[in-house]
Amino acid sequence: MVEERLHYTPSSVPQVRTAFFATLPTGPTRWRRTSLVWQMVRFAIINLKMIRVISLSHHAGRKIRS
Amino acid sequence: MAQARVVVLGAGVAGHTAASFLKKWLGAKAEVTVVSPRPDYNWIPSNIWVGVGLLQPRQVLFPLAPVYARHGITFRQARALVLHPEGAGEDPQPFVEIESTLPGEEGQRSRLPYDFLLNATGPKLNFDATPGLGPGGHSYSVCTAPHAKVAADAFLELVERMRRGERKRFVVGTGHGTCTCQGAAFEYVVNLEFELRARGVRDKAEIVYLTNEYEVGDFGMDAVHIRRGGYVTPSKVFTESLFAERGVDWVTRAHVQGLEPGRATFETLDGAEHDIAFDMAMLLPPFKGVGLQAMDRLGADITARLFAPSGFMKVDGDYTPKAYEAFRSADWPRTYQNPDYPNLFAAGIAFAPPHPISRPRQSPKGTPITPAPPRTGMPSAMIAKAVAHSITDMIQGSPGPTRTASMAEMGAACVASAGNNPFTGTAASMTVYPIVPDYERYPDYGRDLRHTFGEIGLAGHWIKILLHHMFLHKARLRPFWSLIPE
Ligand SMILES: Cc1cc2nc3c(=O)[nH]c(=O)nc-3n(C[C@H](O)[C@H](O)[C@H](O)COP(=O)(O)OP(=O)(O)OC[C@H]3O[C@@H](n4cnc5c(N)ncnc54)[C@H](O)[C@@H]3O)c2cc1C
Repeated sequence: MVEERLHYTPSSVPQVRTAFFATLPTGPTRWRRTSLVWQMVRFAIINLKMIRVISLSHHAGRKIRS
Repeated sequence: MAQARVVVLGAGVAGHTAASFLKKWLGAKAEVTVVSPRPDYNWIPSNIWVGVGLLQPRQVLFPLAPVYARHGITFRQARALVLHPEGAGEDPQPFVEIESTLPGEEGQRSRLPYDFLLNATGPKLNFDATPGLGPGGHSYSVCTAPHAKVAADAFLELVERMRRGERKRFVVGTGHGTCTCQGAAFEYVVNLEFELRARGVRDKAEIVYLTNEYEVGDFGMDAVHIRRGGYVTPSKVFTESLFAERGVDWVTRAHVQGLEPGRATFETLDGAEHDIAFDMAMLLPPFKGVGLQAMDRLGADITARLFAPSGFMKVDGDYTPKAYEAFRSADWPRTYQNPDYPNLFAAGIAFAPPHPISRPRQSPKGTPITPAPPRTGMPSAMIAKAVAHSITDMIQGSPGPTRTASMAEMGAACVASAGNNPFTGTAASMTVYPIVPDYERYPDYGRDLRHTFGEIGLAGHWIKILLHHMFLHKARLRPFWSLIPE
């Protein structure tokens, strides 16, 4: 699909930009995105990262000192 | 104090969160009344999946009345029209004029007195800004569950025609130069592409993402920068990569001027005019305030004092007009209290942002083509909770607001679906900190790169599914709801 789209001539609209100048993932990168074991690890890591930002933000919702 | 009357206008993410916490914290000390024109709560982020036919509206909606009845919150199915923060004539009791939308009582007006009022009315979906835009015109929307259902029906019909060999072009994006909420358009375009693949007709489709962003991945946040692989990389690179990989083409810097059946005309930042034909277009509308008015004691119109020209309510931000470069993160509101009326607050999309986050740009013809600042679910809920806390404390004797929740001091975690399947689906998980860039603290990118990250994968999709169920559980006020973070 990607290879086919790289050579695809877009519609009449000259502003349309397509794949040619974009960064594309390699095979292993694509594989990791849906690899069950790897994604279980990422699930834990992403959750930790999100919890960190949420707790930083709750800290922002802090009490005003009088 | 006798039982305080707290009125919350709106039952979306912000209003519903605030009302739930107000009742939990104040109990019998306050009568909490929610006013909303629709009978249901809508978990809006999952409308994307309704829009591609994967969910039915009933899976993202539930009726509010029974939930509120169980928790001692009064519900008025009505639309707020006019605020009277000084009361009327000799009577200084503030009140809001509402108009019933309850079947059988439509159009009946009444006065709702309040001691504290929170405006959480969200956006008016301003389809009228672009001729031919929206479900009443020639494009679709996923902003509400019924809109998304109509979009899904059109999408599924086109899928059938593609199965019969026809080729179709889909245009997805923003329907005006000043739109916000690009994240939703992004999610819809990648989900649509995923579903076309899943349904075996991807080779029959051309998909174009049409956006007012200067570069894709701007999201109205002046882009996000992420440290990865020895580089600091802007979100443009990741977004373009996602599109390229999926064969989605994109047009940036576009202001849609108008739509007619199967065709959209647009102007780009260089002033050139173009048109693009489509078989289906899902273009988001720009947002404005819902059109609340305000009157003083003598009946004089004070709408312009309370509301910005956009229709959003002014709170404790610094609204002095300045050059983009002169804006500071400290201009952003902290307590969301109205400066003129201390018992009046706004939260979520309803408060007026003091300035754009993305750099404002206009075409040589003077057309503004720049995303408006987003206020996504997490900050909307966090702001609402902080306001609920302040109102609770003020009812209990505090002289002023006690909590702050500035978007320049809080981060956001966001998961954008890129395909819904438990094994092959993916989603982009992102965190940014802070939401509004703070160039005094973080001179290079305005954000702390240690807490700003993004990646795409199946794990993100699992998180998205988890969030769907968790937030619906929370919104239904089921056991332990208050332990689920915003
Ligand atoms: C398709 C889509 C997908 C999205 N996905 C995400 C996502 O994945 N993550 C995320 O964080 N955010 C997402 N968002 C943004 C998120 O939905 C908003 O940030 C959030 O809904 C804002 O909450 P709010 O309470 O301010 O407004 P809303 O949720 O819009 O609530 C406004 C409420 O006010 C009521 N109202 C309107 N007019 C009146 C009136 N005159 N009187 C009384 N009540 C009134 C409405 O009926 C509604 O109940 C998405 C948005 C869209 C459109």
